[in-house]
Amino acid sequence: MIRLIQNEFYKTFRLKKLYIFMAILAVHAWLTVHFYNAGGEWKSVILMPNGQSLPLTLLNSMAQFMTVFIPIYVADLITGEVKTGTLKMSLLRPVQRIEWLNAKIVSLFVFMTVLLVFSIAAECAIGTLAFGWGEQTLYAGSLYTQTEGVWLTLRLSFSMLLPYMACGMIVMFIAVSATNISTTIGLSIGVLTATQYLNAFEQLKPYSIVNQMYFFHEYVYQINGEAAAQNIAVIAGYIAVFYLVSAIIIKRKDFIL
Amino acid sequence: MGNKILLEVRGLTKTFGSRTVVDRLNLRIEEGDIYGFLGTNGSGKTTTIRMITGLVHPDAGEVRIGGFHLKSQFKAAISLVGAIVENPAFYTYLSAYDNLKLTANLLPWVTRKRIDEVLEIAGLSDRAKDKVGTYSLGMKQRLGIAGALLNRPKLIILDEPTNGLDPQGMKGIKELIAQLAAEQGISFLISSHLLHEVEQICTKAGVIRKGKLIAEGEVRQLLASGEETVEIVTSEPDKAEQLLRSASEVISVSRSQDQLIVRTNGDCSFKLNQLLMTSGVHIRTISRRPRTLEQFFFDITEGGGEP
Repeated sequence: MIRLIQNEFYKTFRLKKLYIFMAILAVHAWLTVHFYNAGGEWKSVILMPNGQSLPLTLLNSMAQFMTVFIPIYVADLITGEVKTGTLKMSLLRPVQRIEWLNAKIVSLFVFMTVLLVFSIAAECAIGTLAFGWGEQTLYAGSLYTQTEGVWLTLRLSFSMLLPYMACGMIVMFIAVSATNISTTIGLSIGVLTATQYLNAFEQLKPYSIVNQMYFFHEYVYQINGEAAAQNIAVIAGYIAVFYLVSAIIIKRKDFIL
Repeated sequence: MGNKILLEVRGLTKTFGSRTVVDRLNLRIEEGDIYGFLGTNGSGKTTTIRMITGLVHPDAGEVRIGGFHLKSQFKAAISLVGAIVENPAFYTYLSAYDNLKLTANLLPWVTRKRIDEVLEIAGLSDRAKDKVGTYSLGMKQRLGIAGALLNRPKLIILDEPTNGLDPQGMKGIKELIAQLAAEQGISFLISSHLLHEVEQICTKAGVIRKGKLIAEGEVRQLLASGEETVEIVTSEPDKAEQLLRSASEVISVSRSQDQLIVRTNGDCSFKLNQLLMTSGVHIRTISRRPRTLEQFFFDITEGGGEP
């Protein structure tokens, strides 16, 4: 299992896609800063222009990229391997199918973590270059000292891995069921886009995974026991259900490559 | 030939929808065998191989490799096998060496030195650092065999190993198989529709048709059995033809000038010679045409479909 995961890491870091996604995130941060500086502050999301506040300011917008990056990555990771037959490199070896799937999930988690860490680092760097590091961190109308700000940034940013992972598991279910890469990407983006419409119904809002991808950090920030537990339960439910279904599909699937 | 059973398939059955692709198939490969698995397109060869390697789940039947049950002892069973199913697949953005390194990483007992060894065996040492995307089909097949050799398998399963290769590439793969069988004692299960090729390198063969194994045995025994073709050149073809057509062993006679091609239902060239001689027919030459696997295949499949 560990060796399978090592292989997945090796392949992930050799993929150009990862670096293209990083570049897109960096360009997005740079453009946000650029438009603010160019006199667009009246319609910018930036309320406190400094390096330490920028990652939290842009945390919402990360979701819109992840709803595209995750399907592209997972399509390559799962459907691509089935379609091109490279899956056989693992399955014709002493590797159980479930181990293969688990290694893919770990790989997806690492992919999302790398992008998240990179985006925090890039946004800090770009914000600092443009405005300086700053004295305080602004988040949700409150000001924090530098140390508190860094801790808050890390806590809220990394909490986002939970909804991202749930999104990844939904896409993984689609990927193990689909027969080609474009179907996986198209269907995943379509499903994720459609779930945004759940936001229109106040009662269903917490069950919309896209809503969680945008706003989970706000729920974590408010940290009111019951509400937080409800959101975490919804996300955990998504992860558990879609993992289970994907595992069953993979176990039963006939690979006609 | 050794007699230890390496691969045993019993009652293997697979149905897709209402179509039974493999039907209660039994197969046995012993140590030292180079087994040619023959069949027309769509006869169930690749589905059988996919079931033997665990890529497709059988509806019924069992597969044992080296005595290990594929379903319940998958890791132990598959560790004895090296396989190329359908086409060898690699990460084209990685080098041959890196691809093998990924495979070797899943086999804890395989060393880095072994990667160099298999690249050398496959004749790819010079191009080991090149990306697989730049490889020709023949080179990819060779790399596939290199990958299959990594774990020092007892049995190598090759599904259409010369598909799409030019004559030189085919020759290279055949030589490599013969060399590995002779020098390393590896057994092979080779599915192919190229009968001449199988005849050249295989010691045993099985013919599958509509998912059923319809013939199996040592290649030389298969070729020795059944019909025989005799070629006769005579100065009296009319008389000879008349006589031959009346013989009970003769199935058909075709004629081209003074040459007669006689299909018989057994080893009876001697009898035909006697028949013609006692009737005073002057025979210039009489010879048995060696039976080819292609003939055998067409005979038993009643010429059904392309091999």
